[in-house]
Amino acid sequence: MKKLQYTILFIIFILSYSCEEFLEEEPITSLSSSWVYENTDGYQTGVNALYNLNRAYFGGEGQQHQGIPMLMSDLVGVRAGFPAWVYYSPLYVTPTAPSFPINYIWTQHYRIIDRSNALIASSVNFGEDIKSHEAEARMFRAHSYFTLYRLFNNLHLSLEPTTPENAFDIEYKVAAPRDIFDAINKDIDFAIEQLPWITSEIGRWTKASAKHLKAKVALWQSYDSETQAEDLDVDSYYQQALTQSEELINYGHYDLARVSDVFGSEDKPSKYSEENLFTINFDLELEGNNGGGQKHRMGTMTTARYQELKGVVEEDALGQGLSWAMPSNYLLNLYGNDDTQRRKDKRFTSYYIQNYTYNDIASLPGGVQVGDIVTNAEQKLSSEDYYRRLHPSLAKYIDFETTATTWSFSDIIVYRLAETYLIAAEAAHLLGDNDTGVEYLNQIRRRAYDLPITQSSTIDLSAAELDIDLILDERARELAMEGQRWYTLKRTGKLIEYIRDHAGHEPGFTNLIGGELKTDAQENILPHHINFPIPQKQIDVMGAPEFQNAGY
Amino acid sequence: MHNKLFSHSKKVWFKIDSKSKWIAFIFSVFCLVEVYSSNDERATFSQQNPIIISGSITDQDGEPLPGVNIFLKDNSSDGVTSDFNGNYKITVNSESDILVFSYLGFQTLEYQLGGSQVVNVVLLEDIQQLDQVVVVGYGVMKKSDLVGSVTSVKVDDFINTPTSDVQNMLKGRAAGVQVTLNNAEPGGNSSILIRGKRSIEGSNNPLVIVDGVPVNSMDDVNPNTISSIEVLKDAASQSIYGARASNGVILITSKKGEKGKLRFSYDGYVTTQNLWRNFKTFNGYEFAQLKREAYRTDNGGNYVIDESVFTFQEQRNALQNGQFINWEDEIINDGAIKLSNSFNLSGGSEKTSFSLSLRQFSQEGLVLGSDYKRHDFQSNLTYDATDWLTIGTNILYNQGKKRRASGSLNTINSDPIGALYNEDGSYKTYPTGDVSFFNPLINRDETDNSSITNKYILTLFADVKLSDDLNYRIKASKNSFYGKYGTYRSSKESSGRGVNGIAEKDTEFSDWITFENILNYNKTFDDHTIYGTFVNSIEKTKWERTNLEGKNFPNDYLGFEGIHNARDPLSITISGNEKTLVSFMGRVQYDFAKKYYVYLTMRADASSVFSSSNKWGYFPSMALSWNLTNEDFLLNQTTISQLKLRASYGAVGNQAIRPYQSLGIAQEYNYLFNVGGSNVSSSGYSPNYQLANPDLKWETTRTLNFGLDFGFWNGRLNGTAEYYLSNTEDLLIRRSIGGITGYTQMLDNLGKVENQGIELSLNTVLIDTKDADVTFSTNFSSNRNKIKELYGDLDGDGKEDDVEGQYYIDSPIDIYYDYVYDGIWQQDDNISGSHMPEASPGGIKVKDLNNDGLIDADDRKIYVRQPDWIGSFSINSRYKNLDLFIDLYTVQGLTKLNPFLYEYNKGGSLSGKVNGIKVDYWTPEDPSTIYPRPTMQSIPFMKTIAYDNASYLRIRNLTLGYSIPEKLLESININKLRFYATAYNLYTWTDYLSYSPEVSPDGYPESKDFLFGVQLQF
Repeated sequence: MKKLQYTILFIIFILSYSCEEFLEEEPITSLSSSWVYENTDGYQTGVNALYNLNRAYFGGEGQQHQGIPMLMSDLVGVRAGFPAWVYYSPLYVTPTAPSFPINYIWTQHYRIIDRSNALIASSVNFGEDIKSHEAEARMFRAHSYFTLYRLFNNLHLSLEPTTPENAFDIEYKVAAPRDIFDAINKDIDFAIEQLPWITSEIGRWTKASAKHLKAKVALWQSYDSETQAEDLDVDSYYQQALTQSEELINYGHYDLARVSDVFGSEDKPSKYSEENLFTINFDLELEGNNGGGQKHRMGTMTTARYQELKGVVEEDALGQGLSWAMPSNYLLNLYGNDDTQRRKDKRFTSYYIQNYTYNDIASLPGGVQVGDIVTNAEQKLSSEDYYRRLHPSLAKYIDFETTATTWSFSDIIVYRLAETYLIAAEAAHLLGDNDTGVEYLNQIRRRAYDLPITQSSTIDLSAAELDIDLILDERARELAMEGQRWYTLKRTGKLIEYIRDHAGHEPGFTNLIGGELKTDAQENILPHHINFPIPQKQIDVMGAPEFQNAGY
Repeated sequence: MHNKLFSHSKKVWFKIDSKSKWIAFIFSVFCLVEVYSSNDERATFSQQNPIIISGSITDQDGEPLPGVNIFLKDNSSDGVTSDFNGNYKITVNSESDILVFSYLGFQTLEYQLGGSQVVNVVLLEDIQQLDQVVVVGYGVMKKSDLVGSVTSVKVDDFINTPTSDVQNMLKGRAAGVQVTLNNAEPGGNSSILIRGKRSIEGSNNPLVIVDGVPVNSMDDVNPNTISSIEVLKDAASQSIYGARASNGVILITSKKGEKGKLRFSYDGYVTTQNLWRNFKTFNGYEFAQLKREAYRTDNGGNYVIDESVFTFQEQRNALQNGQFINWEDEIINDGAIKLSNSFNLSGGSEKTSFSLSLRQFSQEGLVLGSDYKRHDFQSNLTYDATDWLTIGTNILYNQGKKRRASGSLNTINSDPIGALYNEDGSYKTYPTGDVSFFNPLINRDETDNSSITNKYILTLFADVKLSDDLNYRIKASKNSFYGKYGTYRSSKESSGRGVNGIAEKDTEFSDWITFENILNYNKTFDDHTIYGTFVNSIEKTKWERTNLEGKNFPNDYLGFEGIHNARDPLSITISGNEKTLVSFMGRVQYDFAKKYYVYLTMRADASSVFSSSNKWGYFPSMALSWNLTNEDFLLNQTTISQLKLRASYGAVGNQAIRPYQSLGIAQEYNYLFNVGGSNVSSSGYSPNYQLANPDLKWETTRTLNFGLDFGFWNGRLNGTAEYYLSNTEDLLIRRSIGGITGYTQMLDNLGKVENQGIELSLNTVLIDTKDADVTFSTNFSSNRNKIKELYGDLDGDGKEDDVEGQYYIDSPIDIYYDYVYDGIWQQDDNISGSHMPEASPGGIKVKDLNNDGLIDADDRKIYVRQPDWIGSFSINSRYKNLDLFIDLYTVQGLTKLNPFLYEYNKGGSLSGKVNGIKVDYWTPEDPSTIYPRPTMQSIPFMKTIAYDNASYLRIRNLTLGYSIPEKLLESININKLRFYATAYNLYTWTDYLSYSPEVSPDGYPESKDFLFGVQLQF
């Protein structure tokens, strides 16, 4: 009997001993990261993930940084809602501010850079056919460094991937701007060489978008001598910008679209047109993990709270308006001094929502019917409520494709050919060739007034009057709130001046009783604001040179 | 023989007035049955010079004690029991033998024979119950032999807490155990912290073991089935649980059947829950005035006309007719009922014993729209298959159904100026007319948020008696959880109405399999006793959760159960993990003459969650004890009845990190491209923001513990004092890393945390007579928590502090770090010449701590969130059939931030947009010295006013009971019938303005309960 007992005991002990395998970890619902860098399929997913990381900036309704620097400029009036960065509120424009939004920009771009570094470094594991994917990773790295440089100025430059082994050896050192732009240009040159002109998968980087970025980088370098290579003069940068733009404009596949088609409309819901160079894609049907991304805030933050008007409920396309930011008085006046004049510029009618209509029979105020345009005659709104509910809204982020969502899944157009024209105009002007310059500018203007693009017209500007301010005005009309204005003003050295002069609403813009829309940005902006501070969170963990946040 | 005794016992049933004696008798008879059956063969050899000793045994009151075990000290296997009149007869070999009288609940008496053949003894009641058997993990030990720091919780004091939250019942019942309410909602829970916080990133929950099976929470257990609870507090006791024990171990033993007697008991109570609070909100007029003041401040001190302040017709109407909304009345169900019915049937035959328990618990929520129902079932069964093999099974099952009220308690802060109903009696969508304020009551009624959870614990075991000294147990258990959670917001709810309803449904399951081999060795020879235990165990846990989300439904009928009808696409998220643990444990306790004890344990644990080179952790411990009571110099005196010194040192671990953290994981980052006009999903994978750490290992805590157990005057005053010092090293910390690396954090083993503290528990029997007893018990504990080391100075400012994580060297883990409130600026103050020149009268003044004439980051201080000390005081008393229990509990010296005193959304910012706690705010005419001037702008340093002292003293329990005299019950064969009434949380003294000092005012209110209950046993 005893023997039996001991035997059982022994067997059980033996059974429970083989534990090496038992203790091994094998994730159930995820993949190991080495797969991404060692396998062809994995490499492709690694590149796709970069697009996702790049889009993540706009992901989620809670992320209020989405307005930075997309909206912050002289072209917006800010009513509420934002981290007060957008109007340079001194309480918030400090690196230690609670929920400092800039931290996200800093870390997310460096994250894209690190994952690109890893992909670029591991491309040696593969053959030639991987080159076009590597080129996409290089575009992201170049784009992220270019973005970070324009915002922060003093960057850490790292082209090697981070591993657990080297993570704590990485020290923040300010790289020479010239080295950063050398890396940026090398990456873009590689991409121009490897990428196809046209992609069947719209949303990917192409040779066209690479050339557009190259032109933008060259134009930036032409103003910023610290970024210029030692052996190149400034004219070569003007020329580079002009050459890249013209090659793209003349390639043939990409073309200026009808103004009403650029950002879509009820009739043509899609934002895809032959004008697009690079877009960030969203889709409600593929929401979240299916690749469609998260609803973003760009549409709601630039839409009035029209749904709070009496007799109006939320509309499918407009979604829920928050009315945080709206076209400034200055911007509206750039289209013309009164409504009739403005309406001649089709950009004014296509890029903005001018009117809201009654759509809720249950709560109509007296004397109006469903379908009537809302006016303040019936609503009797105070000044504050006018801005909140009835002010014109931006239409560039309105989601015409998706119904039944309060938040936007609208695609975001990052680069489009209209900007290439404006770059060409500026580059030609800087080279002293105002005739070429003004023609590019006029083509954009003629398109806006629905005129034949290549025929001279009454709204043409003359070569003699062409100057930077005029180009900036046209850029404002065309590209307002598309995320370029802040950089453009900084590049041309006019950021502080323009914000002081135009941001928000000037007194007397509306006939309403009471106050004006916030002009805080005008009052708040200070010279040091041309560089964003490095977030205190980051300084706390990595240190930073004192001069970086000087003034903050 | 068994049956004979059994029938005999029936006869005496009515004669013995003390119930407990009878039970003890039955118990000891069974023990002896065992003894007899094994002794039959030996009896013939030991009768050379037989001397017969006889006598009677009584207690202090002269009552005869039946069932006392009497045996020879040298030969404990030869013994007899006293009969029902307390008389005994025993045969001894020599006149110099020592007789031992042993009886459960009484002090063991050793009697040196000296010629007389009649030995009458009086046994003294053992108030400290040193013979009581204490569960110590993988075995039991006599309380008197305990070397480590183990606290047994009195289940009787514990059980009459009217809640389904078992953790909360433990509050104040054991020194060193801090229980804090997490959530007072029906089916809510508390958290337990034993001897302070050790881990920053890992869990701080103690390991809970029910009948040898690890479980997730104490809530898995039906409190009515608990027979004992032990808390293991020092490393010596804990280290047998090695890698998981660093936060302490709670051992729960459930009731088992007793052989021979069928027993039925019923416990039931009904409770009404009542709202307790120590603050008021502004009423309609007061709130209107606050609004006017806020507008006035922003309008350069001039009042704004009412038409501009109250822009909506609804508001003006309300102000005109004086009818406002009392939001609290709308959401609180004062007097909500709680019901508990618990049944237990136990018994057994010669070879089997069983215990079956059933409980039904239901609770209406104090907040309308919430409730909880729970059913518990438990069965414990053992069967003696042969004389060397016992097999058994324990089955535990419970089901909880919970309904949550939608929206938070923030509703009480809603604007009262408006009207709730339309003319047709339905709720107004916008009660104040402001379309940005949707009626929260519609949201409550149009949201379904409910869950069902099921828990099964199945255990099978076999005990094999390998020899007289050696026992082997093999045990397998499966602990399964299945939960279903759903939320549905109908097409009338504020977020569901635009999209025709939003549904979310989650299913979750987990399986936890444990397999153990346990060898127990127990041998006494001469003055030496050895206990030995060897354990091998393996565990595997699997967890999976599926989340579904969808919206746009054809109708609202099916709620979240109809999620498949969602016309807008479903999102599906599945997450899951597996982890495994392999362990070996050895334990030896040796004592010499019950005076000197040595205790050694060693546990080796290997957990899958750590990197391959760091999977194994080794946790040794050692303890020494000196029981002075058994020394000769303390033998012949009656003052000191117990005196024992204990010291221990050892290591335990914390493996509480999620699986896969040491691996480099790529996560899904999918994207879409437009291909030929349609959007096509494209797979993307990338590491996330956390850098993998391939070197992750255990957090280790080393604890030094000193203890003193004492008893005086036969235990009438007894207690325990302990001091401990514990150091946690290799702390798992999610350290921040610079964004330039492409990552923002990494889990790492860095840093040290120190906890030290003292614990004291004291029991005094003030009166102990036949008709009355009064016992006073108190316990006190105080813990100091300190971060000793972090990850070095990262930013080069000479300090190691982690500002982002709010961790400061030499400060506790849980702190606030902020400026210090110093009153309100008054009109006559010299503001421009002060350290806050920008301030205005009515603004908050903060202290310039470093006296440099300005307020900057250096003027912040640390506010400690953990209490200085916790104490409880209770009185247990009885007069004849009446009993009274009073329990006081106090937590002292902690700061808690009150969101209702500063947050905009909770009315704290005095903006007049949201109602809040009614305070005496500042106006130029009536300048307050405490609260600032209302304004719609944000008030600088508003938060500093909200750091409240959250110390409190509470009468937790006041119970008056009456037991029907047994004489009356005899005729109906009832053993016990007791009625009792309890007032729970009767009164609380605290400065913290809330519905409970442990919960923010926006948390679910903790109720004040009045309970009526019945206990019945036959």
